[in-house]
This record gives sequence, C-alpha cells and structure tokens, in this order.
Amino acid sequence: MNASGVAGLNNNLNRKKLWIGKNSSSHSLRRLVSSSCLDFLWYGKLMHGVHSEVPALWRPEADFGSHFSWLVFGHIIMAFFLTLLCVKFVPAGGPGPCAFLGILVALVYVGNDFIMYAVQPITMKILGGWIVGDLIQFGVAGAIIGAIYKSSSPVAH
Amino acid sequence: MFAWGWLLNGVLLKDVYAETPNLWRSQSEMMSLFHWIIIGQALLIFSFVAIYASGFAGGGVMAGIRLGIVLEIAAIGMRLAIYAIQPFPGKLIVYGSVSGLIEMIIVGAIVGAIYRPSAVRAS
Repeated sequence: MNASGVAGLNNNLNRKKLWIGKNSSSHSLRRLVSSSCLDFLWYGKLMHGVHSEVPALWRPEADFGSHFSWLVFGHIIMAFFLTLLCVKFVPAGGPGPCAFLGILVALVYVGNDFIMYAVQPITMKILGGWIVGDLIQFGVAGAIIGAIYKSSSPVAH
Repeated sequence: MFAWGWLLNGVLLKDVYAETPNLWRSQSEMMSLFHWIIIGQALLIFSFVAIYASGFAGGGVMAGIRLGIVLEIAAIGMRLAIYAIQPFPGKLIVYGSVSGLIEMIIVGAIVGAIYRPSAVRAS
C-alpha cells in the first residue's frame, strides 16, 4: 500500500472512530434520560414508602439535594459504559440482544444487592425492589440502546 | 474474590466502616446472613462469565481484563449514585472503587485465562 493509501485508510479509521464516539454519546444520552425517568418512577415514587421503613439509611432531603449531582454523574457513567458494552458486544444492534446484555449486566448488580443485604439493615422488600429495579432498568436501557443503534448504525445496513 | 473482600472490608477498611455504625448490621447479624454474601458473589461471577462467554470469549486474558474494567467503571457509576442517597463517607467510595477495580481486573484475568470457547475446546 502506498503512502496516500495509508493516509486514506487512517483517515477512514479516524472518521469511523469519531462516528462511533459521537453515536455512543448520543445513545448514552438517550439511555441516560430513559434510565433517569425509570429511576425516578421506580425508586423515587413506587419504592418511596418501602425505603422510609429504614430512614436512618438515607440522606435527609436537603442533604440529598446537595449530593444530587453525584446521582446524575453516576448515571452518566453507567449510561456511557452500558452503551460501550452494547456497541462492542452487539455490533449489529437490535433491542433483543442488547436487552439480554442489559439483563446480564443487571445480574452483576443484583449480586451486589445480595451482598448489601447481608451487610446493611435493609428489609427484604427493599432488596426485592432493588433486584426488580436493576433488571427492569438495565433490560429496558439495553433495549433502547439496541433499538437506536440498529436504526442508525451503518453496520446494520 | 472472597479472600480479597474479607481482607479489604473486614480488616483494612474496618475503621472507615466504624465511622458510620448505623449504616451497617451488627457483626452477629452479618454472620447469620453470611450465605447472602456467598450467593451474591456467586451470581456476580456467573454473570461476569456469561457476559464474557457471549461477547468476549477467545480474547484471552486481555479481553477478560477489559471487560472487568468496563463493568467496574459502570459499577463506580452505581456507587456514586448510591453515595448521593446514602450518607457514606466519601473515602469509602474512593477505597471501594479502587479496590473494586483491582478485584475486577484480577477476576477478568482469571476468567480470560481459564475460559475456552467450545470450538477451541473441541479442537
């Protein structure tokens, strides 16, 4: 391959990297929005009463407000890395395979929930809620990433 | 993984945990729920291997380490979200994240070294 061929190839690779970067960010953002909505609905509304059975475990409302940025930052990280896994794992995209990956990733966190139950005085209802929440959140997020990725990925066409 | 967890949480970070006693179960209560820790760690390893087997198999040790790093960084995201809702000391999050990263790199390396895809096993 001559010099211009190599330059052209490098250029294409750089463009591809840029494309993957831009799309990962865009998919992460959509995953972030959906995940935050689910989180608010599941943990903030539906599980609010269950959580209030052990008030000593949670930050007071004002304290939570001042730490809210950590919640957002944590979700950005999770959204980005779940998207990265989907892109690497299921290059053709599709809601089914990505939802399956999301559920497998959720199982890692469910394992962690079990350990938290053993060391923190959370109730069985809270543990159940966290498990269901993880599975729904990551399953749905994976499906959304897969659906978006499939529709816009040149790999899929 | 179990030995690392015991060394880190039971010995090295004992004093940090003692700063927030109301967030943790008593020693005897933890011992009575010890099987949950075993089940949790088994589930964690099972899911790790399942993810590795369905998307990273054949990549060897480096692929296992890469998967471990990606999963742990996502777990750090989860830890930060939990930090926002539970009054953990900040240093516990930092120590937990650093140790988690080391742990998942080791787990990834072991899984990558041990696991062989079925086609490779057959040949």
